[in-house]
Amino acid sequence: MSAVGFPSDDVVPLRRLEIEWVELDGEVVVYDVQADHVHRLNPSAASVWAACDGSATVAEIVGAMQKTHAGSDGLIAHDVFDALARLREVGLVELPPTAQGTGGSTPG
Amino acid sequence: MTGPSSDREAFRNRSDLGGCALDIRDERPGWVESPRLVCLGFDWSLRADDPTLVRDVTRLYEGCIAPGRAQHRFTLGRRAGSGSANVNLALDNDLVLRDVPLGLAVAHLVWAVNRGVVEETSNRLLLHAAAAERDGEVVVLAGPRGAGKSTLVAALVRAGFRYVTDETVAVEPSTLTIEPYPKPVALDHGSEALLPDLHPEFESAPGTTAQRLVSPRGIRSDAVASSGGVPSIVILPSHRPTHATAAHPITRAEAAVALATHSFNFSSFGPGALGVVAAVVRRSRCYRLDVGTLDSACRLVTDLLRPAMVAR
Repeated sequence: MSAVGFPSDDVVPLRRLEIEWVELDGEVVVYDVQADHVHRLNPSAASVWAACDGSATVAEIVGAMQKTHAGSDGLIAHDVFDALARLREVGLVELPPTAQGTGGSTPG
Repeated sequence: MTGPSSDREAFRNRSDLGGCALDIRDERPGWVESPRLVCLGFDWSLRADDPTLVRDVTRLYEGCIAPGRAQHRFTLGRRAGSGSANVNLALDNDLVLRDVPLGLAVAHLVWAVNRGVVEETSNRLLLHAAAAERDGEVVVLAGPRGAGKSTLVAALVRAGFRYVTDETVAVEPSTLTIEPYPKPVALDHGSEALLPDLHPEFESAPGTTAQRLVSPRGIRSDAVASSGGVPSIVILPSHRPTHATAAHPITRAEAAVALATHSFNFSSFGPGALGVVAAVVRRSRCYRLDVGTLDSACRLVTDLLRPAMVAR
């Protein structure tokens, strides 16, 4: 299984360095210093955001969310992929290339 | 997703004045100068050939009077021998307005002071917000121009709160204390019916947005807050005269985004800006406020503040 814009489950999503963020009652407010933009992440997106610390692959993040969140595995996987795609689209998360060179491909 | 630079840009977009050398040879004996007026990091005085004008402008900024010599000086006067009622306005050695009606010159002076405050106050996070204080608890009213911040803060002061500012809330980053910036309350036209008992020192200026300038101490003699208040409630007001007044709780994250977006120096403040905003909302309860009538809004804000005061 893989997400739109995440062609490999082995990709390790990573928060961009030029980002400041704070957690507020389960939500996260992110300031993209470079773009001078503020983003607000709902609790679901905030969970995914917190997991993008460079230590887990997409598949591992999905697995961890399926263990800690209520709902069907398929729905949770879909939500995680959706959140990752969105975070990548707005430039908050990077996808370092994998050994297969698939990490940086264009969302589609 | 929002960009915190919008309010700052609004200032910059109006900053294309000046650059011309002022011919200050118009100054003659009889010119008078105001006391030093300290507005956060910007301190200034006004020199003019009309003592009444200097007195009236000083009254607008009465809460800012401080001893010492000002760093900046506005000069406002008629051109010698012109016979015109229009005036020139200069800041330091730069002519910023030439041959304009007095009301426009004063409105521009108020705007230029705001701009100076934003440019020269680097040690505090500056939120584009109004604020009123009671017993050390500060109600922050954040939002874009036209949201009704000035009108609501004037009404709160009339109802017994003390005036912090109607434009720029200055948050000290380590203590979160708010330094008052008691500038004149700038009320849009149309507020006359809402606040008929408030009498402006200066009226109207064609082509400007701030038309009625009310001295805070004209609202109440003890209206101006002192330093040391801390934020307790963050409110995002909307003037909705066809609605019932109502407060809708919002998340702290939503309030934080609003404060960051309506900040004058969020990006230039440095890496601590988001932390300051987060600290402000963490110690505050946060609401959207539909302002149906001013009186009902004042009662509601007073009620919202009460639990925070009891909990202290």
